[in-house]
Amino acid sequence: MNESRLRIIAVHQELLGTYGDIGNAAVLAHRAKARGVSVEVVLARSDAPLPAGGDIYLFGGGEDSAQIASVDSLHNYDSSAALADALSNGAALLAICAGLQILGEYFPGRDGERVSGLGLLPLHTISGSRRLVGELALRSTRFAIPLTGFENHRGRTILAEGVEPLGEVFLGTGNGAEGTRVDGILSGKVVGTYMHGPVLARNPELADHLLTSVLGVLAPYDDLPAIALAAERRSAANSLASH
Amino acid sequence: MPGRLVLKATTSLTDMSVPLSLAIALGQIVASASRALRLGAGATASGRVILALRPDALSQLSRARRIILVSGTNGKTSTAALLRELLEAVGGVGGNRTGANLDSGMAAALATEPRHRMIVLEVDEMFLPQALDQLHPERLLLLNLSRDQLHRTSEVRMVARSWRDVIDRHPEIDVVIDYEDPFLAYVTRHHARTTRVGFGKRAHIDAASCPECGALLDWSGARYCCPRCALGTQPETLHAFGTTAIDRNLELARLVARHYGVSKDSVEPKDRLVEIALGQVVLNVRLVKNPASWIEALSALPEGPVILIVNARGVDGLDTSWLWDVDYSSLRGHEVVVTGERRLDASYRLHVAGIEHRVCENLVEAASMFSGPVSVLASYTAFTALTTKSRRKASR
Repeated sequence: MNESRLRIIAVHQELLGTYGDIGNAAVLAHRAKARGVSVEVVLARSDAPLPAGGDIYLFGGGEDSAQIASVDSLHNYDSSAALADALSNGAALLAICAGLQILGEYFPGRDGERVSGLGLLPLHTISGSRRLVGELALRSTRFAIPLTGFENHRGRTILAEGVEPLGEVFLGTGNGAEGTRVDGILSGKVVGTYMHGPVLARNPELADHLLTSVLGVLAPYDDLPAIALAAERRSAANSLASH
Repeated sequence: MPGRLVLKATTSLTDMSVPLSLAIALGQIVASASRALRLGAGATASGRVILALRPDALSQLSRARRIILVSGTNGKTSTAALLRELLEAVGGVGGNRTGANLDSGMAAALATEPRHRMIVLEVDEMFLPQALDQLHPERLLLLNLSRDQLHRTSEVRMVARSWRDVIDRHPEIDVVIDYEDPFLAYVTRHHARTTRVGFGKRAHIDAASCPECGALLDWSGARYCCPRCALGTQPETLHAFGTTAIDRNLELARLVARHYGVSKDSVEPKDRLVEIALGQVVLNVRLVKNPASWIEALSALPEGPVILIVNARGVDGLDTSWLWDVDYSSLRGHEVVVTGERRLDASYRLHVAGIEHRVCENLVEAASMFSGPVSVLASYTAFTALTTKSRRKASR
């Protein structure tokens, strides 16, 4: 990465900003600054090509029509290539909900038609019969403690054979592919999930996973308000799951 | 949560045609019981009984009546109250004063108001299509539309779509809108009888892209404008002044009242601010229920300490992610305390925003830190709990 600063690219906030996922940029910036790293957060608009040279790219959730406007912009500006370049140069990526769907092979449009995604992640999304709304919690062997968030989507995401999910769901639905109980995707420096919350606010460990993937080993940072929130949400998830 | 009367229509009940007057009488008995048991004002319970017995009650009760509807994400209750106050100048006005704005609340209001009175009803956003179809109002005032309770309404664009569809079906209704809201421009785009009130450009949290065609709106001019489908280029009907939501809603209510010959302007703006004494302090409690109302409330904070109460039950919205869409910089320089069931979400949000604050387990503890007036911004369930409690105290 750029030596002096961490460059976070929040993609199409004006379209993919309906569910507060911009908070992920704020949390990453906060935790990086606490380690003495200077940070630049770039709000990449959909009326321009996606900026190259980012260290972490963030895709959030959005409404159906906004999701299509976003993917149209990415196709029109050939931003898929720019993003693929950035990833092959070591950038990290966090994609939430509609953002996750956009990065896959295809997802359902307003009338159920197939809309081509960027094809950067080995997954595709189809429409489900009902909207999945509520707390979502998962266990992952990569993280010492469960991850929690809030899901709100209709899409069902199917991972390609052998692709690792972010975790095993124990509360809520997550990807919702038939016969599985997993959420998201975890592949190198790429994290995808259906968890809003924002997910990095509720899971500091996941935030540090992304930061470590581009900054290397980080000094410990016991940010008490973050730890308290994560613990409280985990305990809420455990209690909801046991009912 | 206080006990709740659950009423369900059984097939046998709806098959029998119960006279409307009997349904209303039974509803009123249930309302009295509900009040006696302190379950609430009784409007919802009574309305449920009426509708269970007579599913056609709304259209029956609205016959030959002059009805004005008020809807929008924020400001419905206060604006409807203001409109009633203004219209009192030309005769009696009734309506769902307690804010029960679903079909049951409206049925109860229509059942109890005398026939000759005008009726001003506030209507829940999701229920507006049904209300327009069943109540045949002569006028509709639309205040604003933005995201609210995402787990329930899913998408603000879906709500807008349902409004547009129903308004297109009712060309006879006079509609008044705040034209600075692109969603309302979209909703009424093809409706000839629309009064578009301009107030001067203001940002909209959900309208970066066009509600009609999805293109990015151009916000650089005097008003938003869609470069692709030209939303926002219809001329405004008239221009008014209002920098705060309270002022704008007052202007809109005045405008509607003028159609009925009301020239009275000496009405106080309605601010849903409830004053509650707690120990040494006076709490000025304001309802904040979605990002737009948080932004509005935070932009107009008086000096002094501020308590934020954040809950996430049903009507509050189950997801607190929206906390991250709000700018808290106006809290700098205030003493700030957060409480409520989701205080830790709010606390971490403020922490990342660099706003110093304390966290308290409950409001009593929070209030005990101060003396004198304190501003309280309370999410829906917290606001309702507080105001219900203080009403009960007052009635003792």
